[in-house]
Amino acid sequence: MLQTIKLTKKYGDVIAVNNLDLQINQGEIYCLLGPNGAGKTTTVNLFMGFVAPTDGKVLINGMDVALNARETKQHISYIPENLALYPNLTGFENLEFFAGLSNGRLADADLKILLREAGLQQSAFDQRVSGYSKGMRQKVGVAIALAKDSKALILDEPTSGLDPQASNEFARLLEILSDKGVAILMTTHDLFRARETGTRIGIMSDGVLRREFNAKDVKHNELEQVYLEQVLQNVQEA
Amino acid sequence: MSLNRFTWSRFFKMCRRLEMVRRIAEKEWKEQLREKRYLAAGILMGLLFITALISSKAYYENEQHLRLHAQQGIEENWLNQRDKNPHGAAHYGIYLFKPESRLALIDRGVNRYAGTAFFVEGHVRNEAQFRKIEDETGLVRFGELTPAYILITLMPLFIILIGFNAFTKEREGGTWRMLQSHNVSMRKVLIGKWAGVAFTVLMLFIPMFIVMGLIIYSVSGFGEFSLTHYMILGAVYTLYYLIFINLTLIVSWFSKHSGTAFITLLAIWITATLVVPKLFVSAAQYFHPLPDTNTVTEMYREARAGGIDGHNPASARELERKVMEEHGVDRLEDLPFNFAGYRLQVGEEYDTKAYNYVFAHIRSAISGQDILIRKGSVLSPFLPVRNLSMGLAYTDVENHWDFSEAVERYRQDFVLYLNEDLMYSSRTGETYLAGSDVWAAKPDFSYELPGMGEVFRAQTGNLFILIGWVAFSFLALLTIRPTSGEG
Repeated sequence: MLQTIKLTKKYGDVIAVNNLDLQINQGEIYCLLGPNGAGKTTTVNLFMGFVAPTDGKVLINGMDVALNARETKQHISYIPENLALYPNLTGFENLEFFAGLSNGRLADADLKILLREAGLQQSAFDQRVSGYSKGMRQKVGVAIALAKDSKALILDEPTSGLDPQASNEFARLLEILSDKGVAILMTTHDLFRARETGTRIGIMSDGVLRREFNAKDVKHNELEQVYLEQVLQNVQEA
Repeated sequence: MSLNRFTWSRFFKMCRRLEMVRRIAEKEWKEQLREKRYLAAGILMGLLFITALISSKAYYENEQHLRLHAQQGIEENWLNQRDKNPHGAAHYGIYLFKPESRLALIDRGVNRYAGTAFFVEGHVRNEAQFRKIEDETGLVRFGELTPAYILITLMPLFIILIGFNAFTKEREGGTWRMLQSHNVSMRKVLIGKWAGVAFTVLMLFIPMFIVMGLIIYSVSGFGEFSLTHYMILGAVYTLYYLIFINLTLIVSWFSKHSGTAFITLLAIWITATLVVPKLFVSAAQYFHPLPDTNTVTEMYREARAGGIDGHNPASARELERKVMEEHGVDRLEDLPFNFAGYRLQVGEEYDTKAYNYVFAHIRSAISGQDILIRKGSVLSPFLPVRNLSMGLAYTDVENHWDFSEAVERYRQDFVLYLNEDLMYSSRTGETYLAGSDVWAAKPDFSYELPGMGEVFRAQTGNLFILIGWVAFSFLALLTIRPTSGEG
């Protein structure tokens, strides 16, 4: 569903993503771990078509993002680290607007069901987003993704800054989506969350995918050790 | 059948596209409505507008009252003047008032500066009097609060306020990425934003325009109300707003930050409404200066030199000889008319020629100024709209001149009538006294404001420049490519 083939992105002399081969199938939650500057967000931006690759390909549902920018977006939802919503609109209105952009008109009752599924409290539906916490905004983001009914979901550090309870709720939502067959790519710093939620885990540094694990097969200590080695290597190289 | 299917499929596709644009526009409008500063700006604009409208209405009602009072008094004084020599009555003179359209309530134009009353008398072509500006303090230099001022000068500022961050706020707030992550063309976002801003502007302008129309319509005893003129004026203002909406969105699209967009647009507004008009007016005054009073007097004296002075028989000896020869008489008393009246009329015609020369010079300078200022319209849409607004309200220089010329034509008829009365009601000298029957039978003055055709003919240039600005701004908006807005 989500695939990169020899994907490279350079900013001047800096190689942000180097020869990345990635394959995420339907129903998989792929957690991409890596220190700051590892190339995680650039990978997300390449999937979203926000930046163009220097070399290689990004495929969504078999379509090249560079050649079919708008078509590929029909199949993909996106939740960034700080989900940006319109502060003067309510959570419901934000959902209505974004759902309308991608999926035509949904009935109000259906939109409310989506917000409920995403875990947003009923009382917050008609409150302006300017008064929402980050967790509440992320839930609206999930509702938007649910409304889009897309085959893939890309999340850029979505749990950073969330309290443990909100983070748990968020993980539960991802599992629901995964059960529905959605392919999920999530970048994160949170090793614990990656192992708990992900089906596969990749560790990236300096734009290179260093290691991949099946989440079930790797122990937390092992994952932590590999991750720290990569971070340390980064620091030493710097 | 297949054609039908094709047509319907296209139709539904188009509806879906429009639906998307509508959603974006609706979102934009909702956001603006909930943003307190926009709401405050809108309320402030509304209050200023109502204040301007009420003050304009009061101003014109007061002027109308004064005018009616003066007109009645002048008419009575003319009819009740004592018996006197008809030429003396020509010196006694009368006042003529410029008729006004009710749209003058919106745009007072040059009326306060140029005056609206003309004193009609023998020998002299007077410039207009009753210049309200002369009765006011220096504070008026800061500008008057008229509906036209709000609609032409302040409204673009409101447009800038609601639209400057149309795109930059999306980029700064991160929602641009959210929009980009959906299957929506950036062209539709652009059209949706345009529609959202335009809708907000119209939601402010349309109620203002309707209220203004009702108030103007309700003013009694003052000028005529032409719905056609009023609707055209509304269309002119709307076109003007479209230009500013387009410019605002273009700047917002190409600016990286809201602050930059706002400063850029503020600079455009200052340039368009203050700098360019003042610059071109100053240039017009420099390159086509109007003669001062002394120069006018000197020009008149030169043009008048050698002509017959109607009051000085010595200056008309040659004329006496010629007229007697033509009529085959040896004495002035034997002429079939009073030569004194004839001499006064010939003198009057010399005066008219001299004034025509002087006023042609002034008119030429004003035309030169007008042409130069019109060139400034290429740099600022404010100028053609200002001119069109005054033109449709009959308060522009062109209309002032049109009335001034009509008054002059009447003045010549008026003086001719009185001089002819002296010529044919007496035999010699200036001792003849005319009475109330003569005063009552003086020619009537009638003047109708130019029709729509004439107004359009006079305003063709401004209209084309305004349409050019609209076309240019839309073309510039179309040059925006979706990729160029990536944040």
